[in-house]
Amino acid sequence: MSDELKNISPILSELKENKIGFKTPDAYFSTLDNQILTQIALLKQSRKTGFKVPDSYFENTEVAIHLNSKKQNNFKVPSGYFENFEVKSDEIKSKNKRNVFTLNRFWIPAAIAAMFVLSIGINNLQSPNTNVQVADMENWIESGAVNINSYDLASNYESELENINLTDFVAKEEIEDYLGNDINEMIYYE
Amino acid sequence: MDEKLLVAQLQDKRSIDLAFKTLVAEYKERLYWHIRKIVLVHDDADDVLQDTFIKIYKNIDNFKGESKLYSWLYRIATNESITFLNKKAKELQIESEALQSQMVNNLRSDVYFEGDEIQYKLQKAIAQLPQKQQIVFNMRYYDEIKYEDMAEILETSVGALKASYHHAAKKIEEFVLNH
Repeated sequence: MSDELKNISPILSELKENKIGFKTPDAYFSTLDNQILTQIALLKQSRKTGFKVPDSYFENTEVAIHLNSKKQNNFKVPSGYFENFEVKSDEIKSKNKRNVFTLNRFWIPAAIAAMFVLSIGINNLQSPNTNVQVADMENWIESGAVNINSYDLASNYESELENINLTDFVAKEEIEDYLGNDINEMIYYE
Repeated sequence: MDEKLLVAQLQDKRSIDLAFKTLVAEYKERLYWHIRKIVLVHDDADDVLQDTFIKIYKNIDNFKGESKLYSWLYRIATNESITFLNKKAKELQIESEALQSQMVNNLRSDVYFEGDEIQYKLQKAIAQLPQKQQIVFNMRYYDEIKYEDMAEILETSVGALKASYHHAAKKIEEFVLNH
């Protein structure tokens, strides 16, 4: 070992006499075992759910399930509950006309696409289908259903944004192609 | 304790707790210093060491005895240290080279570094090396680990390790002479 180092670098061989210079807090190694074993105990504890089943539960489970299937359901509901249930859900729907959207990987690109299209002018768009999509997306953004900020845009779609020159003319086919392709891909992100 | 017996006890649910205690007592210091030379900071080394032992505990059943237990433990510790540094660089949004340089600069104010100017310069020189060369250099220069054992730990041939150590030592020598 020492010969090997002397041959490669006599200077490093001499410096080797020095210690590395690192130290630890006092008594670190004497308390380390307990720290590690506590971590392991916590790990073992987290693996257990804490739930128990009665003795021989699993041996008799099949029989119990079979017997229970023949029993009546002992739970009750208020009289007329199921008749009125649909009415109640209709009421809820009418109270919450505004749809709630979650911000997910589908809506961020959709919002970007909408802003992208809007920024170059809706007048350029001729296809009724594309107009409907843009109008919908515009409404979602304006109503606050899609909570998006410039940081989200920049961090998620940095490369796409870099390539967009808003002053350039963009052909209708390119926009439709862009929207169509991305929407197809977005479905898999959910 | 005989390594094969220890492994058998670690892989037996009835004896794992006691055997793991033995394992920790036996390897904690060696693994700590190995990790510390990679991550440099005591608190980070402590975190990585705990993660290493947790990983060992979780995966002991996967140890097939194809390498020495000691090599397997070092391999986990090495991988945990590298993962830790990569994660840290990502969090700080800097390249790993920049992180190395930052870590070594921080040694000046580290209460757990009591090295003199030469030792600090050596750490600076090591930080200039590619990550794997750093590990090879530390294992050979400071810990005097045999090439055959290093080959098992780092899953690299002895010839490649010798070459790597040679290059590392030459670069460090050059740095020490010129800075």
